[in-house]
Amino acid sequence: MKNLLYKELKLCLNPQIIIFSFLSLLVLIPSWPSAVAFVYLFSGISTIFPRALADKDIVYSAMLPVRKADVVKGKVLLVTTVELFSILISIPAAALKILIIDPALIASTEASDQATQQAYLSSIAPNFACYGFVFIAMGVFALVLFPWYYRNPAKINWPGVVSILAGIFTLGIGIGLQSFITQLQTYDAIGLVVQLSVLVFGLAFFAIATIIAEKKAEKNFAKVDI
Amino acid sequence: MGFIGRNGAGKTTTLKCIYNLISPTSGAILYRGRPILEDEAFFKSEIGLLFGEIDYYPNKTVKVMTEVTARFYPNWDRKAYLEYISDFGIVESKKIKELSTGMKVKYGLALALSHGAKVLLLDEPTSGLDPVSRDELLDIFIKIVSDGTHAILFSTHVISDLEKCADDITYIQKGKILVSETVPSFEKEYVHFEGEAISLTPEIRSRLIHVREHNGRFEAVGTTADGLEIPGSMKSQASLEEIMIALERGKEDEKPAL
Repeated sequence: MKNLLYKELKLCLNPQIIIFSFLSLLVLIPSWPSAVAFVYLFSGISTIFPRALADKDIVYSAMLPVRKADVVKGKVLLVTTVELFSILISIPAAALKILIIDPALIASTEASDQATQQAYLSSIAPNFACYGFVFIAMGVFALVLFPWYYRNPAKINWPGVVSILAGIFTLGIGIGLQSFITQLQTYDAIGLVVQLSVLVFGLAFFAIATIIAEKKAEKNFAKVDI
Repeated sequence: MGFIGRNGAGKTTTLKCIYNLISPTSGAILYRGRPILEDEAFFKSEIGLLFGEIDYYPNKTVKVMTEVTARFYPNWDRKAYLEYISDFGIVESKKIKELSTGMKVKYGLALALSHGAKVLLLDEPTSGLDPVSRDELLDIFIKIVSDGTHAILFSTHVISDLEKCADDITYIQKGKILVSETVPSFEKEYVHFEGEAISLTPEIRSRLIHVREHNGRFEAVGTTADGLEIPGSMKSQASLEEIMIALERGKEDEKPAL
């Protein structure tokens, strides 16, 4: 597994993906729905596949001393690593926004408007619930992308486009829920429990969805003639 | 061992099946008595497969490709690898796309040999090479197998390659093995005739595998076992190329003329 990931990082990681994964730092943008910062990651990840196709990555990988299924595993490992990296580097930025930028914005607002400003900023903050929704969206993205793409790895267009749209749509639902449900915005006891529950559910969904997506993709890929 | 057959006979398909790149519709693939899929990764480290030249990751350097590839093989022999690339004249700082066709084949061989593959499966390794590079490559094949611990199965359309370096041949037709034996014993089974076309009676024609007539003369291939003598013709041992053409085209002769 270590060798597979090393191979993916060394050969398949292109500058575009690295730039797109750093775009999660856009959570810093004041007064902007934070989850939108992760939309770019889906587009970045989908650049992996056409490049790998041009480089004949599948032939190279299948001829290494690995199982045919490991060709799929390698790509799932790469995508998951890029996703987790992108999320990880955004966490300090999210903390900075919630703890320093947003309070500063509220303080600079006229006293009569401060409550409205606080309510608005909380509804779009990169809080625990927001990250929960990001994980769910990434799980949905994986579920659509991998099994579909590995049915015919020569064609990325439709699996690529539809998986990006599915990811964005899921994020959109998350943004909507966060803006309407107060418990997804507050940091009191109930708010924290609800938010952390969303985060834990999101993480579990992401993990299970990625595993299911990989297994289904491996099964589909076994029937593919290289 | 040379692996021959017409285009579409199933040579590449066979090699791909061995490496689990495609799933066979029927049958099993055994290596030393064990099914390949029992431990796919192990068998792939024992058996090296090369489809002609190396053409993946054209923009990466030889050094990077070797570094990544070597990690997968516990028995990687760096010393042997450096010797091979030095012998083959491969420069590690070059990108894959900057290597000539011959160099790409040799680089593939260097990788396969350095990871300790005992069996090398090569799909048309000499196609696309100039005659000198082809000859060099055949010498490399002979050197590789001369230590008695390596075996090479290579498919080719260039029959003269087989005559130069193959000990055995396996000949397939429409996915089925027609013949698998040593080159001399295979050649001994067929005879070649050359003479005036007028000497070909219908009875003689029916006993030959394939006849070609041109300007009143004929060339034909028959089996040694038949013991056929054609008056006024020259009889000699048939070459591999003549046998292959006769076996393939002989079938066509049996079809009714359009």
